[in-house]
Parts: sequence; structure tokens; C-alpha cells
Amino acid sequence: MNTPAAAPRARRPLLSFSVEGLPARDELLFKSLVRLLDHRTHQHWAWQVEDADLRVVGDRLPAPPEEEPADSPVPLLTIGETPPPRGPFLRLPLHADALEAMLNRLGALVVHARELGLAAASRRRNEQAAHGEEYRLLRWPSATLLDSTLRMKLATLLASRPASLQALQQRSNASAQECADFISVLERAGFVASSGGGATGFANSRAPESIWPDSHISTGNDASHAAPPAPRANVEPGLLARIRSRLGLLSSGPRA
Amino acid sequence: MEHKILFTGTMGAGKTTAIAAVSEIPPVRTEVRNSDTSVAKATTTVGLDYGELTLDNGEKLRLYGTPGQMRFDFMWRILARGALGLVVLVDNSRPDPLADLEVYLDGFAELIEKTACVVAVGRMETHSEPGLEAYAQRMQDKGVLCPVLPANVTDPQQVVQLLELLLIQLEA
Amino acid sequence: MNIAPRIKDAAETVVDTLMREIKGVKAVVIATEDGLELAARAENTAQVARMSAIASSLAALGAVAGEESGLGQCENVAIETALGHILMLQARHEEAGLIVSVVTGKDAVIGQALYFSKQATLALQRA
Repeated sequence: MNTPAAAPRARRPLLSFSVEGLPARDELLFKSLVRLLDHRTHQHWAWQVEDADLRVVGDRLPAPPEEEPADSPVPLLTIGETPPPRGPFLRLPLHADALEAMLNRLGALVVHARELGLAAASRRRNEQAAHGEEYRLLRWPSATLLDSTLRMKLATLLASRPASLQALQQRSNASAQECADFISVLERAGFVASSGGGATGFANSRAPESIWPDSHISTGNDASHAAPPAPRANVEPGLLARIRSRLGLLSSGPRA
Repeated sequence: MEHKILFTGTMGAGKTTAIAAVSEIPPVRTEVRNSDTSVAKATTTVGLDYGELTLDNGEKLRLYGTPGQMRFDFMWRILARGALGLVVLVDNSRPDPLADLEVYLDGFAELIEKTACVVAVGRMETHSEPGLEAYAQRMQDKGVLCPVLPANVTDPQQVVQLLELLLIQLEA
Repeated sequence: MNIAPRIKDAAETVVDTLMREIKGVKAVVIATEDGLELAARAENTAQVARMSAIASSLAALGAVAGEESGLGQCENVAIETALGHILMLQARHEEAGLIVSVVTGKDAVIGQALYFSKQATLALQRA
């Protein structure tokens, strides 16, 4: 079933870039040009604050270390007057053609690295998946990310409650790769967060937040903790399947 | 055991239409003449709209449309009891659709929290602002997490899709 | 609201009349069929704050009941409560459908209340 959203478009990879060390005017110009070129670039580029696929830096930043750490090959694009000792560079004032070519080249590098599983994010995700890490949707994703019925369905599953990659796979008809890809895309865009913070391996503390019953002490983590999922009203077993059948909808997942 | 799904939204958003699109029976309507000159619509629902679907075991799935105006919020409470989920229809051609949406997110807060909700924005083809980003952002501000998408409720397929998005959340 | 002034005046007159004539009356509300108040008087305003919308819904449901049972047009809806009665009558002016709601205490005589209320709806229909 097709989503009634925007007209179908080719599924270009969705990549992100961050900007540091550029004067405000140049940064604005850069972002505007990227947006303008969106209909021509081979990948779709979106700006985000940090942890992006591509770092765009001004030429005044100190040169990157000689050795790129093996597990984070994030390309660095320098913009300015003076080219760095090595690495991609675009001279100001920016020309649209040059920028387009550069974005396509660097975009291809990022996509290739992803496919080889070299991106730190995907390595991290594999580890998280092994630990049954759950993902929590922070807000309904942008329509550009929901470019297939499957992704709409995965987002809807996440909207109702946090889920691990395995759970998402079980409840939908998606493959493990499709679930992982979608979560990557959502994480990069800041729409999803891992819940439970399993990194430390410690169980959640049961200690009260404060020994003073009436005081309210902010732990500073409040913003990142959503309320626990509300208890769902009981639904008679089989009802949902009967409704699906009556509406002519296929059953939801392998176990439905 | 009540099996019902609610449709709500402003006057003219398409509640009656949506139900008519999927109901087996011609919907029962409680439409009367509209005396509110600020809205260019001849009639308005003052009680409820009612449609139904028969499931394979003979039970009924009942589809209820609520009146849209806030003065009928006592009907919202009555109709919300025991509902499986809620479809909020928004008319993007109105002056402040995001404010309209907030009225229903607030008015049905308890139902939304306990069950499932889908926000369907109509007339986006001719009125593209506010865009879906703005809707997603407003819903995040209100702490509501549910699908929001454009929909033309005169198309039965699209209404069915809205219902499916409810079912997916209930099954999770 | 697109109700002609002469209809509104007629509604005010009806409210006065009913508050005067009906024994045990506590409130009279005249509203449009879509639940907007046209004229009202009550012992205390809390009694009538939502009456217009509620009457509109009840009248509409009454209409459905009449149709579904094959008994035709709904003329009025009568509610008996622990402490009194609520009558909601249709006043079908050709320009606008109106609903007359009368709230009475237990000491009211329903027949009398109904009689005067029906007279009132006829007056409104002729406005």
C-alpha cells in the first residue's frame, strides 16, 4: 500500500554534515547552497550539530592529526582561502558546480565506508543490537525519511513503544538490515535515542532520587528520560487480527 | 465488549466523510444547520456520526465521529469511553491548524495516552503550510508521539491506511 | 450567528413568558439546533452554561431515535432526574431550527410545563 505522502522519489542515501570554524555568513551561504543543490546531488545532505557523516571546517581550525583514527574515518572538507596540507578543499567564494562535484565525491566515500561497515556508528549499533539495546522515538520523523510503507510502519511501531532491533524485526516484515538502516537514519537525524543507556552495564539504580521526600532534585538526565510507556488498555485477543482481515489488510508480521 | 474507533477534528475536516468511506452502512448522522457564520459550512455534527463494519465472527467494529466544536466536549468524553483509538483529522486550509490540533490533543489526552492515535492532515495539496515538520514539532512539544501524515479522506484506501496505523500501534 | 434579530427578540420574549408562567421553573434556555445560546435565564448561571450544546446533542439523538423506530419526527425529549425535570422541545422556524429547554424542580407539574412550552415553540415558529 502506498503512503499518501509526497510523490515517490528515488531512495538517495541520506547523509549529514556539520560545520565548524566558518564565519556565520559563510556557514549560512554553505548551507543554502547545499539545499539549492539538493535536486542535483547524488545524496541528500542535511545539516546537524555534530556526529555528522561529513565535517565541514574553516581553514583557521588547527590541522587534523596526522593519523586518522581507524574507527572514525569522517571526511573533513576545508573551506576558505588556504588549502590544508592534505584533504579536500574548496576555495571561497564557493562555486555551485565545484561544491556539487565535491559533495558527490565525498558522499560516495561515506556511502562506501558505510557499506564496508567501517562507520563507527554501524559498529556501535551491532554491539547495541547484541545487547538488545532498545530505541525510543523522540518525535515523529520527517516525511523525507518515511519514503516507504515499511519505514512508515517501523516508525509507527516505535511510536507506540521503545523497541530493540529484534523486536522491530519480529513485529514487522522488515529484514534485520532494513531495521538497522532505518534506525541509523533516525539516529543521525536525531529522531531516535537508545533508551536505558546500556553502555555502563549497570542496572538502573533503585535508590530514591533524594532522601528528603518532598524535595525535587533534578538529576540533569530528566530531559532524556521519557515517561515509561503508558499501560495499554487491554484489547481482546484476536480482535485486531479480525479488524485487519475485515479491512483487507495483510497481517502485520511473521508471528501475527 | 465495545469495539470502537473515534474520529474527531474541526468542522469540515472530514469526520463524516471518513466514516462514510469505510462503513458498511450509510452512516447515521446528526447533522443540523450551521448557525456559525465564521465557518462556511451548511451543516455540522452535533451528536455523533456512526458507521460500522462487521467482523468475521459477527462482532461489530463501530466508527464514531464526534462533533468538532469545543462546546460539545461532553460528547467527546462520552464517546471516548472504551474506544480502541482515535483518528484526528486536521484541515490545513483553516487559519491555524496547529491550534486546532492542540484542541483535540488536549481534549482527548487521556484516550491518546491509553490507546493509539493518528493525526491525518487534509487539504495539504492546496495548502502546504503548516508542513508536516511543524506538526511533528508541535506534537513533540505536547509530548504526543504518534504518526502524522497527509490524507485525503474521500479516498477509502487512505482511510483504511489511517486505521492500519492505529492497529499497528495497538498490536505493538 | 446568522439568526435574524426578530427571532432573537421572540426568543427573549419566550424566555420571559416561560419563567413567569411555569410553576417550579428553574431555567429556560433557547438555543440554535447546533448548540449556540440565543436567549436564557436561570436561577444560577451554572445551570445553563452548557445547556445549549447538551440540548443540541440530545435533540439530535432524539431525532435519530424517532427515525430509527419509524415513529417520525422528534418533538421533544423529556428527562426525569432525582430533583426535577428537563424538557427539550424542537421549535422549527423555517429560517432556523431552535431548541427550547426548560428545567424545573420536583414541584413542577409536567403537564403544565409541557403545555406552556409547546405554546412557546409555536410562537417561536411564527416569529
